[in-house]
Amino acid sequence: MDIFANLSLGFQTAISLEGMFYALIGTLLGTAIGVLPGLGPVATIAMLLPLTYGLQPELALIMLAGIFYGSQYGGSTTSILVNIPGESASVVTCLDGHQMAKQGQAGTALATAAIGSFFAGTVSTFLIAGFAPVLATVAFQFGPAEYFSLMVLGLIGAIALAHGSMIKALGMILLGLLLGLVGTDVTSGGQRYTFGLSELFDGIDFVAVSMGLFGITEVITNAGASTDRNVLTSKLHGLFPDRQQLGRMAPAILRGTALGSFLGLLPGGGATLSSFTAYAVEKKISRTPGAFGKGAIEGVAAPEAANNAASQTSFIPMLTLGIPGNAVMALMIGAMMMHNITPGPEVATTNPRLFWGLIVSMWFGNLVLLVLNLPLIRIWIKLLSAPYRLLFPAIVVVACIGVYSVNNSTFGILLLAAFGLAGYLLAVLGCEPAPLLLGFVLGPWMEEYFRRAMLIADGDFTVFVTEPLSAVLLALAVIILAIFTMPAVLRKRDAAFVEKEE
Amino acid sequence: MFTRRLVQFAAVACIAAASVATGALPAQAQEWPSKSVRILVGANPGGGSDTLARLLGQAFTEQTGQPFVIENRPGASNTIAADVTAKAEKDGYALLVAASTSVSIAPHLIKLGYDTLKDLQPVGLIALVPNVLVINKDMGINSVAELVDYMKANPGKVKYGSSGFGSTHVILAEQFNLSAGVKSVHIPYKGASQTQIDIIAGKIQMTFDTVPAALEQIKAGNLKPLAVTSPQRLPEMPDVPTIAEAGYPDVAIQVMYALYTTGGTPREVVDQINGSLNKVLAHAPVKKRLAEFGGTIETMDVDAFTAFNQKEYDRFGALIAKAGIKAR
Repeated sequence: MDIFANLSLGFQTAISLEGMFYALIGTLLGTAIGVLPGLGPVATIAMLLPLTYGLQPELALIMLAGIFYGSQYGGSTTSILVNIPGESASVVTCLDGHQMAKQGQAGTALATAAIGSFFAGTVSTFLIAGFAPVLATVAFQFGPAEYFSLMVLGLIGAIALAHGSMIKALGMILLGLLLGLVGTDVTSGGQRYTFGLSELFDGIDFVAVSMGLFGITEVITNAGASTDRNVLTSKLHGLFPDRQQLGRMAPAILRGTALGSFLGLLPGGGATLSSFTAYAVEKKISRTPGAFGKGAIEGVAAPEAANNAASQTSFIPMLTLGIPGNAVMALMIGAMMMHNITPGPEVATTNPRLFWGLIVSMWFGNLVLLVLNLPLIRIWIKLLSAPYRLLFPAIVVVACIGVYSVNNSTFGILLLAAFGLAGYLLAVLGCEPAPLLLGFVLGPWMEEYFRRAMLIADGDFTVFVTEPLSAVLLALAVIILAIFTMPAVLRKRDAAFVEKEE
Repeated sequence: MFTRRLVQFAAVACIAAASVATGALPAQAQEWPSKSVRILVGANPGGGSDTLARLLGQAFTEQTGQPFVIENRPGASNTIAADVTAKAEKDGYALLVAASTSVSIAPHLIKLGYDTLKDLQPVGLIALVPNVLVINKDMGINSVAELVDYMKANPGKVKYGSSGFGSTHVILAEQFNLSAGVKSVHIPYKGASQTQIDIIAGKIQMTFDTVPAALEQIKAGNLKPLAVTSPQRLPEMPDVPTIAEAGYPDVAIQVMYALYTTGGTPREVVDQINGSLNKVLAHAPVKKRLAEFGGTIETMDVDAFTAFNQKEYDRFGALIAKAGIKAR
């Protein structure tokens, strides 16, 4: 099949007046809703699904895809501006993105996120168009043992997320792992640390943890400190990255895109892992690792690119195999079924107009995002010049609405408050929440895959090293651990030096 | 979204106002519904029962002119939504769309804050969704009998995937183990798609998947179907025998999707809701959507469904006890 002929069919579908209209509407709606933390793409798509019943299937999917990208990008906006990550993928964007905003570079950070996302979206669209069927088989190469080893690798990379002491970072990861254990054990059905509260049977809600530890903590810390607010807005730099910043972000975006494109192929957690891993990689290879966590542009560019590339390539297993890699993809399948299209290995041949139309609309949706958001940045930044006494209550209210909407339950708000306080305590003690969150996300996955691998192997521990792919991943983890620990003395001196400069 | 919330808030406000206004009057058997109705769903937006609830909600709204608001209360094997329904006003304005998992299985496995049979009033059956026994296609096995022979020759070698403790997959597979006198090992997953990937890749061997979830992979030749759990063969796969034909009638278990309301709701109201439900289910577009969903619609009156509900409850209870499934 000729990829260009296919793409041109796609362009005819997506770039029709109607196609563009629905892509625009979808992206707009998605962005507007994504800015509300907690309301991620899944809830948004599920609620707007009935709106698309009456549309032609291509247009319905184009609109849904637009909502998906829009809400993802909306999440980065709140991460950068007010330090509230709406979903796991935007946690890392908070680290340097919000620091940049504090230094008056909110515009640059937002532009970086938009440009990074657009570039990654473009590359991964071509990947899907050209190699989707081949890439789809990657999902089958990853069994439970391989996933476990991948998670180990990710967790070790998590140490790089912290820029303070290694002991504290390890402590935070462990705390995160413990919090992640709360809930019902999938295998035995036993309750762990739920205290009989049925709200905890499914574990602690991620949105409450992340918004509490980041957003609410930020509010408490700032309300306590009598910081001069003008510092934030007085030294507003140019909105767009200057040449030196472009030079720093371009390679970071490239690396993030490559990493994200690959990890997105893996169903179950690949996309989340991609932004964490991209950040860790950037920090490791940077000549100035001390700048990370203090507003390094690479720390925004790489994870944003990785995140977007991964969410794009996560369409591959869905489109080519009919297997949804995550909840959003499951909804997309639901939407297709509503229109009498059953996704699966044959959809590209039976419905070429829809298949290629969707692929082109992915790229188009990204373009709309860029066009839509670059001018919006100026408006977003205005938000930062709002006085604290108005901004803070607004953040708290928005966080409460977001966390309530996850389960429609006030229990989430109590959790939010508890984690807000805990986050403040951690901030006072100089412990960073990012490693905790990664432990919280990866811990339960690691356990799940570990136990599944052991069950399948009838309790044989060697399965992790006898499966070649798993062995390679574990070896990488050992190497990274070695790199981190060996020059510990040197690194400590570096870190001390950086701290003193502050 | 904002407007949706607003509508919800407005609706709640109106209900509050209305109940204050009518509070002094004795509970009269008015036409149901005279105000907006909540439909509770125990799962997140996007899942099977959510899709079903939204479909019904829309049809109910069109039929009655009153808003039907979907309220997702996920968690605890879908029983949080049931708990909310059980403890709502006994007036038929809180409905629950539930599947076997939460009303027939969970009560036997987890401690609940309500009595499923007493505090939830059965309203009517919506659909029965069949399961299909699928295996890895490279095992060289072509029938249930061959699978049983293989399992007898290699005890514990066959691993079956499920959507977690307490899911219908486990119940079906354990019943199959009991009926055929074989042993297979349970591998829990977080959802059907991960299970499918590992079966296709040959990491595990079998599962009892719902037909809509497995159909495309079966059509594409990635999964091999051995038997369906419906009473008749399915038009989508006429060559696949029913599990009863294969010799295991006890495993002929379909997933039930049904409508409930708060226990203690006046019988006239329950009958009215049942009437509305059955009218909605007879509506052609709803029928068509439900067929895409993979289910066969079966309508029952309140008495028939109450008996059916009790039968399902007892059947799963007996099976869970016999198979020794319990939370540890």
